[in-house]
Amino acid sequence: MPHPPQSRSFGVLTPLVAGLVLAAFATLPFWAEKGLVFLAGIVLVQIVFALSFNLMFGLTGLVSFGQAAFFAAGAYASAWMARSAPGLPFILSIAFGAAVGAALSFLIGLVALRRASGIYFAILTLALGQLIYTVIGKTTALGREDGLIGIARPVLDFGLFRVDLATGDRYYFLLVVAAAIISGALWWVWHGSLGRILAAIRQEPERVRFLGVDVRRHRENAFLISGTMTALAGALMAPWSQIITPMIAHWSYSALPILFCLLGGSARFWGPAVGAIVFAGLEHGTRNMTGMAELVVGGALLLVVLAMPGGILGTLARLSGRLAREGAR
Amino acid sequence: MLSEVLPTALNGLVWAMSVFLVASGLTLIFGILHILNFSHGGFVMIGAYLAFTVTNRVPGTASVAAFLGIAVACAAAVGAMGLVVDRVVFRRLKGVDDSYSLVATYALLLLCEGAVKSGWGGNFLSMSPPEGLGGALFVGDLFVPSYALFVIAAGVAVYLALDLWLHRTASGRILKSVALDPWMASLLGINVTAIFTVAVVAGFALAGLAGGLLAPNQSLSPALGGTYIIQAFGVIIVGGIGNVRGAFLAAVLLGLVDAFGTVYVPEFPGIFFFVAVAVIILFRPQGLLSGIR
Amino acid sequence: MHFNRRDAIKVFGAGLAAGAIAAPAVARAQSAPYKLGFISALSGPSEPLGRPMLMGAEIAVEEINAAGGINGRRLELAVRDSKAKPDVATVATRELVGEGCNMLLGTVSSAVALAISGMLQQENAILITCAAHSMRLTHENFNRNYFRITDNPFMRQGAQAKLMAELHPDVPAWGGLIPDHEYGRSTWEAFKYGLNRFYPKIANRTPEIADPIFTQYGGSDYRNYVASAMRSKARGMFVSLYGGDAVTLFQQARPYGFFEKKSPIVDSANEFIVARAMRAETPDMWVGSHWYFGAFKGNPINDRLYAAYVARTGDTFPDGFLSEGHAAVMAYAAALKKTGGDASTPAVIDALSGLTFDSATGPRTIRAEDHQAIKPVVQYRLRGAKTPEGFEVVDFRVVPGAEVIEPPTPGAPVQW
Repeated sequence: MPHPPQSRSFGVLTPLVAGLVLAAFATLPFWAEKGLVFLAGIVLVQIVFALSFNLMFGLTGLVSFGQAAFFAAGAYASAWMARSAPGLPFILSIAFGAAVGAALSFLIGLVALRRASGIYFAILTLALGQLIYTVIGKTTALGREDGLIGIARPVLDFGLFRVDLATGDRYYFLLVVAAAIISGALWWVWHGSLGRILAAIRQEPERVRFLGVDVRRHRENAFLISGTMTALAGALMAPWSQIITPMIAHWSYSALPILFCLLGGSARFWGPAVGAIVFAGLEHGTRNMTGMAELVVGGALLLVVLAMPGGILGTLARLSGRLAREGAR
Repeated sequence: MLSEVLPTALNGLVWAMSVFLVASGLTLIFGILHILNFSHGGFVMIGAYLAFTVTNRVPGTASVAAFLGIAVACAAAVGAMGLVVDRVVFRRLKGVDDSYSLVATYALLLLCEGAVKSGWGGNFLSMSPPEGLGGALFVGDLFVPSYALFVIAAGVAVYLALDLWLHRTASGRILKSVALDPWMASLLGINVTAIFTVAVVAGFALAGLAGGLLAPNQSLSPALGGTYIIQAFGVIIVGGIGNVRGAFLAAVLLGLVDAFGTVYVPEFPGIFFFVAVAVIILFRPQGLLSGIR
Repeated sequence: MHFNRRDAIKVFGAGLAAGAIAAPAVARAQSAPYKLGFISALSGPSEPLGRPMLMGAEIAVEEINAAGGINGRRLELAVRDSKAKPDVATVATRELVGEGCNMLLGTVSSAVALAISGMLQQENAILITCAAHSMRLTHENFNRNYFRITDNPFMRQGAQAKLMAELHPDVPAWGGLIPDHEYGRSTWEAFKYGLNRFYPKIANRTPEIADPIFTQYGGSDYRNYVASAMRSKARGMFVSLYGGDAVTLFQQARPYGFFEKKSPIVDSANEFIVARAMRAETPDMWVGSHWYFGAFKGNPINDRLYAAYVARTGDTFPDGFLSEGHAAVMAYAAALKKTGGDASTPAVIDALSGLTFDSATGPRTIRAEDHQAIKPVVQYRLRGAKTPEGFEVVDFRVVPGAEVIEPPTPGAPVQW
């Protein structure tokens, strides 16, 4: 059963925990080892990826299986732009990546949302995503299958002073700031009028249509915002990993945000973030169990999905609700 | 160029029938339980590995009869696994969003890969076709591998058998009615839960059968599970959910499109499959044929 | 500004103090083991390549420690799985560097090698690769911290072309079945270059080279490519598909009479992987390899390595990756002996550049200009047989690296 998005079930706990997690991320380079810092940067990008995906999935119930195409578009476009125009300010190459993602999601949304819904939307976006994956892999300017390597981390020039993000892990702090800002923007959309309309559409599409609401246009808007933010995430990731290959456009990469949403719970805004962090922890924890890794990760996933249908946050909400009820007795 | 058309079409049909063998069980389960079983390819893989081991360990299994017998045995074995999966996993996925079943069955796929790696290791394995199917025949002007013809024949045979079962037998009709309207079917006294189990076991048995029949088709490795699954997805969506006839048609159509595309536009191999799926779904979102048939 | 006496005393005093504080630490460090960081694909489709590589490194470390270590210090191997993914490999590399490993070895995947190579200067680490075959690593993407102790496609495919000119001068035309990615294409370029270079010299004719057939990789149906190959005028076939794809291709090709019509077959790099899978069905072909134990009998390092492998696994046909993991450790050991124990990155880099060290394939020299090893190129002729393994080696050739190596062009692409 689809859950309507709830924003008040945890009360003051949500911003508190979110703040703690942000602080943990922000201070990570000071207390964690270098490999973990790199991983944390990847996780921050994946959180933004999953949160923007959930704008579509959690609010409209539509699963896009080709979301990685937007991620790759943002990454490749911004990396290519930075390479072709070396003097260009970093913010502009990022914006270019987001613009390409926006254009792509506009086109795909136009096509995919016209008639298809449910599983057909999923397979259609899968097919279109794989098309983009194949095209990227055959484009020489984008490095074909080997992708783009040696992507430089930028030096931010603010006129009066410059911030060199190329030394050490400074770029990580940019990721923290950017992830916080983008997540905030998505939070604002989720809890704003678009979020409420989409939730209504999801619960009672016919009734909402009778009220004169253009269902398709709102879905397209959600898809557009989702795709643009995903592309932004990709654009931010390219200088962090410094190497991008067509694999970030493959459907197996599109499966990641779906996994995070279902693991953490798609009904609550921060669910996908929880899912991303938990999954990264699981993968990192099993990284040296070569051979056993699939069994452990597969078993853990199965356990969560079977025992916790609302994801981690959904289960926590149910438990806290039950506690509250028992406390009131 | 004409001399290329027939062999290309034939290769397209071989590919189509191999994908249909895999997709048949998938569409059955999806049509009746509305669960998209991501691990289906993993169970095909297990069927193939089982066939490989039995053929290698048990002497005197080189004949076509033994090959078919082993494939049926694999069908039974994997069908039994389906019983367990139904109990443990699918029952809990009743009434849940499609996407949940995707993740749960994706986790199952990981378990299949892990199991195969633990049991057989990560090395590549190869199984030869049975004696009698290792050569080639002259069909008119064409030189066709016997095993390729066998795959086509097997695909057609499985299709006919499934079609017969679903349309001409009582049990098949019960299955269809449960797929169309489980609530009404239960009101009519049908044990819907039992029927669901039958569908799952049948779907898994088809996976095991496909694995056993296709083991000599390509190399075996723990990655085999993921290799067939996306193509199978495409085929069942284009064919229409739960529609075996549709899956057969879609497989043939997509197989031919992909084969000709690969041969005549070699710069972008494999792209035609996805273009075809996208185009067809765009103009006929419900697939070529609809409903469980 | 004039450096006066007071400044000099300050600096001198500070230096003394620092030395006094640091001295006990230095003394402690001198008995601590040298840590080598091993990263390779230990899971996933490339696992059959990464595992023997690790075993070779472990055998080398054991041997060296048993003989007393280097400069009295032991060697220690820290191991991480790259899963053949650049991101995972980056995390693993930084972990290893954080643990104090500045000497890294391994990698199967060229993407991983390129990703790690790009990080080396920032992390102040060194990488010796034991299999990654991208030409870019010693050309466009070269950096001082990177070393390749294996051969490369230019050398290997050149040696293969040379052998074909010697053994099969009358092949009417050559063709190729090539996976459509950078490594695949570079193997074909190298083979083509070799054909054009050696056929005129050795066979006294210009070779006819048909257009290669580029294939998708990771698929389950290669029949259309087989059909294209059958239609092509090529007689000799160069195949550089990897592992499982090659097995699938050969399986599906056999009924077409592929191996009767297309001969000779040259396999670019599959070691015994295809033979182990296909056993008696293994086609008769020449295979390019990192190392064949039978080609270096009498070399004590070779014999000891082979014996250690057989003792550990009971298997009698080790893949060449075993010797390359082994050789990387040998290279580091020789470099550390040369620096007299200084394991700092600049010292080891200087020691490795131009170094000649001993390995299971005999002495190898690492060119100072591009850090590419001059190493003998090995190939053997395989076919299915009624032996317990199902296959046999009927012939082998070893070509000195210097005969087939390309001119060094660090920072620039290969000159074909």
